[in-house]
Amino acid sequence: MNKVSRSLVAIAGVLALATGAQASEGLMCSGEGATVDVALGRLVIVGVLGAYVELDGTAYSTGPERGEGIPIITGQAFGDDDGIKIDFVDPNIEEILIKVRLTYTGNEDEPLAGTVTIGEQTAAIACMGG
Amino acid sequence: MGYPILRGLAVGLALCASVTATHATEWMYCGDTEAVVEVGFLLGSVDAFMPSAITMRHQTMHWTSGEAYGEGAPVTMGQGFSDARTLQVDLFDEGLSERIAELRLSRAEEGDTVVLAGTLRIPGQGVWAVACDPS
Repeated sequence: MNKVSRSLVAIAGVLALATGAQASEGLMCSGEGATVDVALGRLVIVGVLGAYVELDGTAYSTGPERGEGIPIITGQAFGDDDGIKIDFVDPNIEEILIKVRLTYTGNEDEPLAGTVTIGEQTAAIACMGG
Repeated sequence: MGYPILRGLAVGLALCASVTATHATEWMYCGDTEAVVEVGFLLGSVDAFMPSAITMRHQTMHWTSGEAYGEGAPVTMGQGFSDARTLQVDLFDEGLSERIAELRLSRAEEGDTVVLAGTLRIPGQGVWAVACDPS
């Protein structure tokens, strides 16, 4: 099992986004004025099941089960030994609205850290995990 | 189209076209110079890597994401990501249990020329240097 697989399994074991109908796990990231919650499937790849993102008071959501917000859908996601990167797009799949870039920290309490970018705004975030 | 500069020019033209054509789709093919392997993605105009169809060939072996795109073993995108510098794609079987291929590409631009090239690895089969262009 490579580093990303180990990390995803570890994160999945610690975190649970309880609002989803199915048993999903994921990332819970926060920073100054920023929240990024991403539900992930139990896979060796980054399979995004849903997400809620808030930056400077503006919220985005893949669906009401994740929270109220401007609708978004997962555009692209990728995980490897360096980290995880996810882009969310508008429901018409016309443009990337949100960019999440995370790298592994080696810290057991916050194994991933990086940035969330929406338009011209970027915030530093750290993600809880095991 | 065997010359990298022509491939790059074609990719560049495709990228320019994708900027102006909302919801337009176009196939992008990546292959080696000996035509041993080829992988193709039907892409829309959004910058995110969201192929609506995938085909792949290694010699006489074929994979496809749907019968409408030809015969072959089922293949689906496990994860994929494109940005200004790279394109990374992991292709899996239908159940996402077996990794079928890894595509790792670098993108570079100079003037109107865009080159997108790197490696395609099919576990158990081999790895090849590939370059990409649309058809």
